[in-house]
Amino acid sequence: MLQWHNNLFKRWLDVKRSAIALFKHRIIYTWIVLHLLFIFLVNTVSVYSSYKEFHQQPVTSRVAIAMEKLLNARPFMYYGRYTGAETGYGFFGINVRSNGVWMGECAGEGITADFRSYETTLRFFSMGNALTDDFIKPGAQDSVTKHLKGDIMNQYNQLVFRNIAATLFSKHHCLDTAMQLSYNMLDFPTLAAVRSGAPLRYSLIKAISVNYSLNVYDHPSAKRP
Amino acid sequence: MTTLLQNDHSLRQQIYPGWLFFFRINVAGFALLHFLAIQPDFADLYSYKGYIYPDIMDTTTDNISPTLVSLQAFLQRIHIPVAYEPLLLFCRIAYPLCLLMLISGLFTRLSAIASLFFQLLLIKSIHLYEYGIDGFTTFALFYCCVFPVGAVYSVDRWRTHGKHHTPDHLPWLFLLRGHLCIAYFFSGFDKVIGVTWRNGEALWKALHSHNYYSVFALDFLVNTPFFLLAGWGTIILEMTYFVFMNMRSVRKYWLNGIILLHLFIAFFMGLFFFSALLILLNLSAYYAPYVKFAGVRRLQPAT
Repeated sequence: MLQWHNNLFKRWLDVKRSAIALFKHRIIYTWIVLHLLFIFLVNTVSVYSSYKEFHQQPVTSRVAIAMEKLLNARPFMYYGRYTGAETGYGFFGINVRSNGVWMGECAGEGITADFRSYETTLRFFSMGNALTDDFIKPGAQDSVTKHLKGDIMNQYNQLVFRNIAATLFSKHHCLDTAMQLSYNMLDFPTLAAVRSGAPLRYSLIKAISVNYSLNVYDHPSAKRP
Repeated sequence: MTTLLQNDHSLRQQIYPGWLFFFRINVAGFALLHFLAIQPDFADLYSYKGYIYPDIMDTTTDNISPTLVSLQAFLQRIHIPVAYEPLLLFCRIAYPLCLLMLISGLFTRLSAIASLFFQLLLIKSIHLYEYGIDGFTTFALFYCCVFPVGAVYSVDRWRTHGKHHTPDHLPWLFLLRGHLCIAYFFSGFDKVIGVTWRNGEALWKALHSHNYYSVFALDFLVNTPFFLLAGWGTIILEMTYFVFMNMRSVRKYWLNGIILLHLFIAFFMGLFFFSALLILLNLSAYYAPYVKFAGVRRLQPAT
C-alpha cells in the first residue's frame, strides 16, 4: 500500500516537475523584488531624514513619516537586522562627519587610549565621532538607538565618558587620585580658506570634559560633610 | 536587471556559477581576517577591562538581536548559568571556526547561518564601535545563507561525490547586483544633495580627518581642481553605477573605476577592510560570473 502511494507520488512529481520549478522560481523572484524594495525604502527614508536633519528642518512629509513608522515596526526591524537590509548607504554624505581626539591628563601627564591594532583604533575613533555628533546635534543621537533620546541619552554619554576615563586611569597606573578626560573636536581650515591663505594647521576645540576621581568628594554632585 | 542578465546570454557572454564559490570564500575569508584584526585588542573592546563595560554598552541596544550580555541573561533564565568571560571566549572561538567551515564548504548552509548569528552577536555587543563595514558584512553573510554557495568547490560537494547539478544561480546574481546598485545609487545621491560634495570641500575634510591613515598628503593639490573633480567623479561613478555596470560594453571601465575609487579610499583614508570588502563584492557580482572555473565544467546541467 505504502509502496503504491510512493510510486504514485513519484509519478505526480515527475509530471509536475516543471510546474514546481516554475513555482519555486516565481517565489524566489517575488521575495527578491520585495527584499530589494525593502532596501530601497530604508535608504529613501534614511536620505530624506538626513537631508532634513542637515538643514535643521522637521520631517514633514506624511509619506516619509508613514514609511519610517512602517520600517520601525518590530517584524520589519527583525527582518532588516537578520538580513542586513537595515543599513543605510549614505556614507560620508550629506557632509563628512566632524571628528575629534580623546585626551586624558593625569598628574600633569597626557594619556591616550592606545591600541595594538589599527582596526580597533578606527573603531574607537568611530565611536568618538558618533558621540561628537550627539554633542553637536543633541536631537539626533546618532550613536544610540532611537527609543532613548533626550536628556537620559546625554547622561548616558556622560557615563560612557566616565567609563573611558576610569579605564584609562587604571590602564596607565595613574599616580594621582584623579584624572581629566576631554573630547576635543578637530578643526582644519576649509579648502576655500586654505586657498585664500589660511595655514594648514589643525586646532582643537574642547567639546566635553569629565573628571574621574577616586575621592568621592571630588565629584561635583557630592556634598562635603 | 533580469533582462540584462538574459541579454548577457544572448550576447554569448556566458555566466558561470563559479562566482558562488568566489563569493563564499571571499566573504568568509574577509570576515575571518576582519575578526582576526581586532584580536590584539579584543579585551579592550569586549571585556569588563575594556574602555566601555559590556553592561553599560548593553543599556542602549535595541534588543532586536542578542548581545553577549542579553545572551548570558537568557542562559541564566533557562538555568544554564554561564559567566560572561567564558561565554565571550566560546564566541571568540566559535565564530572563526564557523567561518573556516564556510570557507571550506563544510555543512555550508549551517555554517553560514552560525557565522551570521555570531557576527551579529559580536558586533551588536559593541554597537558603539560599529561602523559602515559591519552592515556590509552582515548582508554578505546573509547571502551566504541563502545563495547555493556550497554547490561549487566545497567539501559538501566532495562528500556527495560531486552529484550536484548546476545551481540555479541567476536569481541570486540578480539579487546581489540589485543590492549593490541600490547601495551605490544612494551613496552617490546622499553626496550630491550636500553642497560640500559638489564643491570639493567634503573630500578635503575627509582626507584631513586625523583618524584616517593616508599614504601621503594630497595637500600639494590644493590649488588644482583635483578635489572638485574627484568629488564629482565619485558622485557620477556611484549614481550611474546601476546603469553602466549593467551595460556590457562599458562594464569593465566602470568596474575599474569603482575599484580605483575603493583603492583611493583604502590608501588615502585608511579604510582598508571597507575597501577590500566592496572590491570583493563588486568582483563577485560583475567579474567572477564571467570566469569559467575548472570545477564548474564538471557540474551536470540542471534537468
